[in-house]
Amino acid sequence: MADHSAHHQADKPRPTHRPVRRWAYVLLLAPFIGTLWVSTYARSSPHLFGFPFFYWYQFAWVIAAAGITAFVYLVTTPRGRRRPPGRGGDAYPSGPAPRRDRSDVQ
Amino acid sequence: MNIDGTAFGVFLGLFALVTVIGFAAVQWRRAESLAHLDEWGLGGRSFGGFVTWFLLGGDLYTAYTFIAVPALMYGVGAQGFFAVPYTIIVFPLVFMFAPRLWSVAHRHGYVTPADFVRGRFGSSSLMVAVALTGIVATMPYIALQLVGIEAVLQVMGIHGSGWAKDLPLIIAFAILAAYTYTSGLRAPALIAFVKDTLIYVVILVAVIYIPIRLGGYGHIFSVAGAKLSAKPAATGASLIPGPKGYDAYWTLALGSAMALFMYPHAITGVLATKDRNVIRRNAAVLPAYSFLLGLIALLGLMALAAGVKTPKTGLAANLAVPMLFRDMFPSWFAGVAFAAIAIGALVPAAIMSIAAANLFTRNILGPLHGGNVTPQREAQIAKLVSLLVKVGALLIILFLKVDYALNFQLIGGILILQTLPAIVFGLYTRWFHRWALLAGLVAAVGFGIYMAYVTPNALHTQAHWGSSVYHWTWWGLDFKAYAALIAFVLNVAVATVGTIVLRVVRAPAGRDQTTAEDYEAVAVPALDPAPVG
Repeated sequence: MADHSAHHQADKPRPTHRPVRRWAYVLLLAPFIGTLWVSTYARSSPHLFGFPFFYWYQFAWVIAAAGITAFVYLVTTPRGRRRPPGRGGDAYPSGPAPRRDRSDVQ
Repeated sequence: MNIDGTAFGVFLGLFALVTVIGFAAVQWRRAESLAHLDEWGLGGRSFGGFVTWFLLGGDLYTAYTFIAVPALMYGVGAQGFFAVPYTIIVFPLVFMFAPRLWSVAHRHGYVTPADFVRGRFGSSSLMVAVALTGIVATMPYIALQLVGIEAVLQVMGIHGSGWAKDLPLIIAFAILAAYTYTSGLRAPALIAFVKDTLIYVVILVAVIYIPIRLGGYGHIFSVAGAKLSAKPAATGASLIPGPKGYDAYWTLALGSAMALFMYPHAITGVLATKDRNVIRRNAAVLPAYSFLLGLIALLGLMALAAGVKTPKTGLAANLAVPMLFRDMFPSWFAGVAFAAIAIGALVPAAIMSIAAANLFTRNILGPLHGGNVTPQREAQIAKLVSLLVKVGALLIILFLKVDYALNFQLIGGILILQTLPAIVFGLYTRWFHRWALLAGLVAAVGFGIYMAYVTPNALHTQAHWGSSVYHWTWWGLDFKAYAALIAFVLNVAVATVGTIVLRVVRAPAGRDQTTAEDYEAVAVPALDPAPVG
C-alpha cells in the first residue's frame, strides 16, 4: 500500500502538511455534556429577550456547538498544496475512484 | 369544502414549478447514463459543499421539523424541544464517523451502509438484516412526510370524504414518484434549492412577524406556559420540563441523534459528496439549520398563544402550524408557507425512497440472484422499489394512528438505531463477531418493537403505539426513556457477550475486505481494487 501512495503522489506537488491535532476531538464532547445534562438548565430564570433560561440556553449551544465543530475542523484538517480556485479540496481526491478500482463494477 | 382560493393558487403555482424542476433535473450535471445505480442513486458521487449543504438540509429538516416538532410543543410543551439538543449533538457525531464511512465506501464502491457491513464482516446475513431494518425504518419516516402534506392540504380546505379523502395526497405523491423515477437523486437535490429558499423566507417571516402580532416572545412564553399548565397532569405538559421528564428528554435527544445518520437516506447524502472534507465542513455549518429548527419548534407555543384550537380527532395537533399560518398570514403568503411545508416534505420523501430502493436492490435482491444482476437491471429495480416504499408509507398512515406524527419518526428511530453497532462500531473495530452483531440487532429490534407496542398514549385513550417513551419498571428501576436507547443497550450487551462466547468457541469470523488505510484514505485517489467478496 505504501508503495502505491508514493507512486501516486510522485506526480503531484508535494503537500506541506501542518500538524494534525488529534486532541482537539475531545472538545466535541462538550456539546453532549452541555445539552444532555438536563437538570442543569431546566429552569425558567434568568430570562433573556423574553426567553426562559431553558430555551435560550439551548439556542446558545447551537452556536457554541457550531463554533466548536468549526474549530476542531480547522485544527484537525491537514493543509496540503494550495487549492486551485473552483476545484476540489487540497490533498483530497476531487472525484470518485476510477471505475476499475471499485467493487461494484464487474 | 371551503377552499382559500388565493392560498391554493399560490400553492399550486409553486408546486408546479418544482415539478418542472424535478423532471428537468435529469439534464443537470448530465450523466452518460442514469441506468447505473451510482448515477441514479448517488448523483454520480459528485456533490460539493454547496449542494451537500442543501441536500443534507433537505434530508434532515423535513415535515418532522415543520409539522411534527411544533405539534408536540403545542401538545406537551418543553418535551418537544428535545429536537434542539438532538440536532446540536448530531453534527459532532457525524463529524467523527461519517468521514471514515465516506473513505471506505469511496474506496470500495459501497453505495449503502449494508454494503459496508458485508465488506467489513464478510456476512451476507448481517448485510440483509441491516438492509431490511433500514427499509422498514424508512417507511414510518416517509409516513411522517405524508402527514405533513395532508395537514397542509386539509387546512387549505382540500379534503373530501370516503375514498376522495386521500386523493390530493395520492396525486402529490404520484408526481413525486414520477420525477424520482426519471431523475433519481438529482431531482430532490435540485428542488432542495427552491425548497430551502422558500423555507428560509417563510420561517424568517414567521418568527419575526408572528411574535410581533402576538405581543413579543415574552408574552408568547407566558401565555403558552399558562395554557400548558392547564392541561391534564397525565399529559405531562409544561413550559419547563419537571424532574420526571429529564430522562425522556435526554434519551430522546441522544437516541434520535445517534439514529439519524443510520438512516439510509442520510448516509446517501454523505456518500453522494465528492470529497471527505465536504462532510466535515458541512458538520460545522449545518447547525445553522438547528437554530432555525429551534425557532420553528416555538411555532407550537405561538399557536398556543394565538389561541389556535386544533380538532380533537383526525390530524389533531399536527394541524397547529398550518392553522397558525392561516390565521396569521395574508392568504397569498399562507399559500407560500403551505407550499414550503409540502415541498419540504416531498424532497426528503424522495431521498428516503431512493435510499431504501438502493438498499433493496443491492443488498437483498442481489444476493438472492447470486450477484448476477447487471447495473442496468439494478437501477431499473431500484426505481420500482422506490415506488413500493412510498406505498408502504401510505399503508402505515392508513393503519397506524398516532397522537403526534413525531411518533412515526421515533418508531423508525427505534429500528434504525439498532444498526449502529454493525455500522459505526464496525468503522472503528473488527472486534465484534458478525453473528453476535446479528443476534444483538435481532434482539434489540424485537424488544424495541415490543416496548413501542405496549406503551399507551398519555391519556390512555389508545392502548398501543401511544408513545416511544417507555416506562421502565423492571429490576427495581423506575424511569421513562426513549425505547430506542433502551433497546440499544440490550443490543450492545448481546453483541458483546455473544462476541466473547463466539471467540471462545472459535467461530469463523468472516473475511474483512477493508484495510486500516481505507478508513483514512484521502490523499491517494485509489488503491488496487479490493477483491469482490
